[in-house]
Amino acid sequence: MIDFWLHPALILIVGALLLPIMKSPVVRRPFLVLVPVLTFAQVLAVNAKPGVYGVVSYLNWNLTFGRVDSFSTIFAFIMGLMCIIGTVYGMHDKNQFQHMASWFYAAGSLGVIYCADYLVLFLFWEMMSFGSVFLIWCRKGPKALMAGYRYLFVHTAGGLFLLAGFVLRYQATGGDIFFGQLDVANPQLYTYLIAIGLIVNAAVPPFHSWLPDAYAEASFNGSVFLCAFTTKTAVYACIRALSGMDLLIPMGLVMILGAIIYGILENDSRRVLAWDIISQVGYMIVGIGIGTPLAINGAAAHAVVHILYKSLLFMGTGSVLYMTGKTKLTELGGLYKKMPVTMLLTLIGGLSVSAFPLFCAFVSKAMIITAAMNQHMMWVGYLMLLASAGPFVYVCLKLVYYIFFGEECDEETMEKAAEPPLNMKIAMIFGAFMCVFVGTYVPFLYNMLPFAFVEYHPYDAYHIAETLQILAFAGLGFFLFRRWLKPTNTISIDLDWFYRMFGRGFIWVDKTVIETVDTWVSRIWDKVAITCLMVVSNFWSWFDWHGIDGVVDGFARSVHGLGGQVRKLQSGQIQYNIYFAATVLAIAIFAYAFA
Amino acid sequence: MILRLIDYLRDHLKVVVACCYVLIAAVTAWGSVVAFNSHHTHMFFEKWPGFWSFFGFAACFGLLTVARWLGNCVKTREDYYDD
Repeated sequence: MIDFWLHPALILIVGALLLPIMKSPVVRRPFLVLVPVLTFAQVLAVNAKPGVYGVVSYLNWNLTFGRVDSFSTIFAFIMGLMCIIGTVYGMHDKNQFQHMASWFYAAGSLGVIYCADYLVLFLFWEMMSFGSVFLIWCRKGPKALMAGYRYLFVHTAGGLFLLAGFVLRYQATGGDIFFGQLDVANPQLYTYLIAIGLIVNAAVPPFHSWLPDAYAEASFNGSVFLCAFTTKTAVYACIRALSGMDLLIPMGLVMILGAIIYGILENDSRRVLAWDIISQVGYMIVGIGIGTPLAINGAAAHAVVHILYKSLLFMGTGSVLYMTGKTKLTELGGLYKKMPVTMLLTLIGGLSVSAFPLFCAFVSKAMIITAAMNQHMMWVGYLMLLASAGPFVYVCLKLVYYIFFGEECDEETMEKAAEPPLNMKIAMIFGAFMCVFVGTYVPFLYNMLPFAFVEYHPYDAYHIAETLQILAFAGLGFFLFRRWLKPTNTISIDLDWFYRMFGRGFIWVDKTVIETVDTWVSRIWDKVAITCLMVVSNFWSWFDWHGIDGVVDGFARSVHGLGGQVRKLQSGQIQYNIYFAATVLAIAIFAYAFA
Repeated sequence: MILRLIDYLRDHLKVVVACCYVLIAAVTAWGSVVAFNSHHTHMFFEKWPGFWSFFGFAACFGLLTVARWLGNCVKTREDYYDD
């Protein structure tokens, strides 16, 4: 029997390579559905048989492409599902490159999730980076181009940290390339390098600015993929390697609270959601830092539900962008009249992110908070509870209010506004259904969690009452202080200021200092070096002319002279030729006879 | 249908707001009773009547206040990086 293990990522890669030959929409559209559906089916088939598969010997290493266990199955499941939702949402997009980039990106994520060593991890990690950057560039325009380059710069730097970390670890451990839990209690230099490499992709401060920068500039369907894969794959990798690393707890809290503040200040709807990604990933990072089975279950559960509701929200704002071309809250308003279904579905995403009872985040976020309380980290728990008011205020209320209600936008935008194409609506309706389904039928999510033995019951009266009170009074706060939240035509300076200014400083140094030095070096070269070279070359020219050429030309002149003399013998008269030939023959016979 | 419902609610905004106040008060009252009888509280003050209501309001006010203050420091014009 042939032991053949088909990696789900391979289906996406082959599909992406075949896509350009699918020119006709009649073939392309079914193909766009078929490939992610087949991938998801293969994910389910692979998940059904835990074990180690796809081990390839290369040089002295055993590279493992398929580690199927309770950690990888839940993440692969949601990534496979998200690939279907994202592809269906953008199915009408004629840009083949967009779909190819999306599938390579998703394949990279599945590759990371199933791998078991650092070499394969790095391979797929970089595939994700390069696949995702094209989703930003696909929007076209100078802003998207520059944002893509900044994204690539940050992720390449992160990848290099990861590479440096595992190379150092390889040397320190005598050749171990296994990707698993690091000794976070006794961290070495390589532990920190690997951690930096991983948390760059999780957008942990101070490496977070790439996220709102890039996701807001991506294409309408590109951001749906982006919001799901990069940060959550990094969360998965952090769960694998950094569980129980105390340092992650304060970092996660900074993410949660800092991103809420920036989200409140933001004017661009997709940037608001991008800041909320950082905030929600902060909960997962705190959970990983706590490291108990309940906390890890919470981090994994929150990653799953976060993919569902955040993609729904990005699909909602993406629909507004697709139909009106606008994303700024100051340029939108009153769209419920033209896009009521989109409004309703976006509202479901908003209620989900707010962790309302019956919506998906309600069953996940509280696990992390409870895990902190159980470990007697009361301040951590209370700060997370405090922050839970944030998403309700700036996503569910502010975002929905200023896009779909509030002051009506200009006539031109209102005229353009309409419900998006059917495939976009189908993807959003499915996403909304999943948000409610996961929030109401708890075993669906809980049965997939890594630590099956941990029991948690989200729907107890105290938890419901606590959540409803916080959200109700946060809503009251919004109602009373809503003018403080009025969006303005501004941006907020963030830590990306440093590398943007570094880039500008580099160009300034290049244009002023380096260019000046270059000019002076050229002038000195012209004056000194060229003169010296001319003297030397004149000497060699003279030597060549009078020395080398003298010998060669003298020989040539001699040959030329001799030839002239010989030429004179060739008069062209037959009697002279016979006379000379007979003379030479007579001399030869005479010499032969008397020799 | 969605449109008609929204327009109806907007036409009766005062009633909607009043209903929301009643609902908020009801949630607070119910939450206080549940907390008083619950064994799930982590600290003693969670049993105080309306603690989580106050907590939610203070959280919202605190976040908005910090955002307003920070906004004065970090907000700048949209074309700041375009120069």
